Amino acid sequence: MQHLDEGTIHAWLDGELSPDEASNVAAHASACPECAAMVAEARGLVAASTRILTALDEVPGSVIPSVPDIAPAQTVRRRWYQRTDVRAAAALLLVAGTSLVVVQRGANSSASRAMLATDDKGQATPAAGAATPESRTFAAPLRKEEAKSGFAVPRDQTAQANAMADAQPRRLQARDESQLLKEEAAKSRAADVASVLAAPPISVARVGAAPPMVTAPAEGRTGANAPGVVQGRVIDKQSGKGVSQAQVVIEGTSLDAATDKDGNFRITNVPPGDQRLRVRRIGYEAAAIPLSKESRDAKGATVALTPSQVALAEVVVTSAENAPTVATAGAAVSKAVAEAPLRVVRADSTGGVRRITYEVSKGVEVTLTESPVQTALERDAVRQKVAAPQSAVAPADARQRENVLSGRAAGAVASAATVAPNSITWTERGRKFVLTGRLATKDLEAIKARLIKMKR
Amino acid sequence: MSDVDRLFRTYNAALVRYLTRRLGDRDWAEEVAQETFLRALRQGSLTNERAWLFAVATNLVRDEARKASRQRRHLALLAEEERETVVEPAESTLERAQEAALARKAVDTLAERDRLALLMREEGLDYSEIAEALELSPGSVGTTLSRARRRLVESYEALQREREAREKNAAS
Repeated sequence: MQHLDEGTIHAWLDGELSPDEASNVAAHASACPECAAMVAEARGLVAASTRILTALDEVPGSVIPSVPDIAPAQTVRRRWYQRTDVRAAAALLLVAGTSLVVVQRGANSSASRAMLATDDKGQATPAAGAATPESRTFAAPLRKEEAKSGFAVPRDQTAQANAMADAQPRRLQARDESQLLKEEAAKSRAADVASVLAAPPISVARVGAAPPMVTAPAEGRTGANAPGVVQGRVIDKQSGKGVSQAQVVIEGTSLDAATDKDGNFRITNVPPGDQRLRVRRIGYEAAAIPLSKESRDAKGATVALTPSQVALAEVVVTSAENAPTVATAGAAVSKAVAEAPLRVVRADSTGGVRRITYEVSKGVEVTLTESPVQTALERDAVRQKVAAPQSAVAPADARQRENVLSGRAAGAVASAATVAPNSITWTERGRKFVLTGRLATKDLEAIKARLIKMKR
Repeated sequence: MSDVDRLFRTYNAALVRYLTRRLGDRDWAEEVAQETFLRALRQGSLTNERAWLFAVATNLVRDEARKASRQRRHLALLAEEERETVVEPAESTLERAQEAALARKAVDTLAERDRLALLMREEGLDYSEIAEALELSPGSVGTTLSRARRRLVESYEALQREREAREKNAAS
């Protein structure tokens, strides 16, 4: 068979090939070392791209408006993410570890909305409905029966706004739209338009007083269908055991969570509607299940993941300068540790922090955490501590750094599993590395040497 | 008619993030997203709603770019307004802003179509949806994405090395 082309590999990793095509690709990749290496590289590119694009969400923050100067009318249009305290919370989350970020993202945004809400409560109530982008758009087309009058709202606004558009820049136009909403809401309950905005159960004040996703129930939906909690468990189809650190996403939203060590997950503030739950985990085929009414109940959904056709263990990155030299490099090192295969069991990467867990031998795992060195001060301190050889390491190739690394198949480590958790830290090219595992320091050092070697 | 309420709840977050990543301006992104939903409201029923929304949002961005000069004048005014109430960003904010700037530069090196395909993929669109939104053939999406990802990562790493070299020079 011909070698795989890159586009096909990406399509395969993205789960976009037909079952037939996918099994062909899998078969070829497991038989052809060249293509296996390309697959490993592609995986790296996919992960790195996501990481880079995530950094874009840090919207330029050189201008942070301070709160007190703003007149009440302007405070209303201030959005939740512009608030300094929200930014601070986001900053903390970004700095924190991977799984934390994943789990907390949903919680953060609802928390920040709640923050905003309490703020607005103190403001003029009729205006509260226009406080957030969500509620502004929500307010119009909420009820099916009143769809016609619902239509009237945006049309009117658009017409009026368009009339103004020539004279006024767009940003002002948006403000005027919310102004219109406010005025209309305040004007009259009798008016059609206002009744849509103010009709029970969505009193305008309520929309402002709590996260809009939660308090604005769509007409005709029962309580069971209201925004709620989706929880469940991700298991390994073969072993039936829980799968930890799997990413669970409600498709088409930013709502997601990572599974805990038993494979359990929980996502709150899930809006009603026909949606799918997508589960991804390195080493498994991605899975998606529809979110039925049943899966929203207390028992929760169970998603069984099929181990990936190309298990990471099969991706072997060989190198001419592999183990032998390493074994001699660390003279005091037990030969077993120096030669045992390093199999990747977990890898994730978020907010600049990358974590890869390798299995040294059965039951013995080490985790390599790579993060930006936090401050210039700390960077200097660490630099001084670290001996010259590490900083002399040549820059690793971009792709190889993300690559799934795996050593050759070899014998297992003798024991070492009884050692207490241990870790070593070093920096390399401005990145901080922490290697943790239940191994003696000299063994960790040996693994470090091998990792550095492999990355070259 | 399409259930715009549901559309909004389902897609707003992804659409805003997509647009923010494309435009680098959250406010602007939200305005474009809102306009997209308004159009969906007028449009009535949609057969392939997610692809439709992303395609319309993308076109709006394109139209907006033509109005850019007018925008810029206005933004300059606004920025001046806000400058009076600036507080100094913390150092960690600066570092993250640097990361973001680097990412932005790297993203800017991509061809527009590659960039859009990649950003859509990140929001969970499948290949057929991306093909529809960007008027590509479905078979070429994998190639487009592989090219985009490779280019993005390589540019990013190159920029990173550049910056590190600069910092080193500055330090010595």
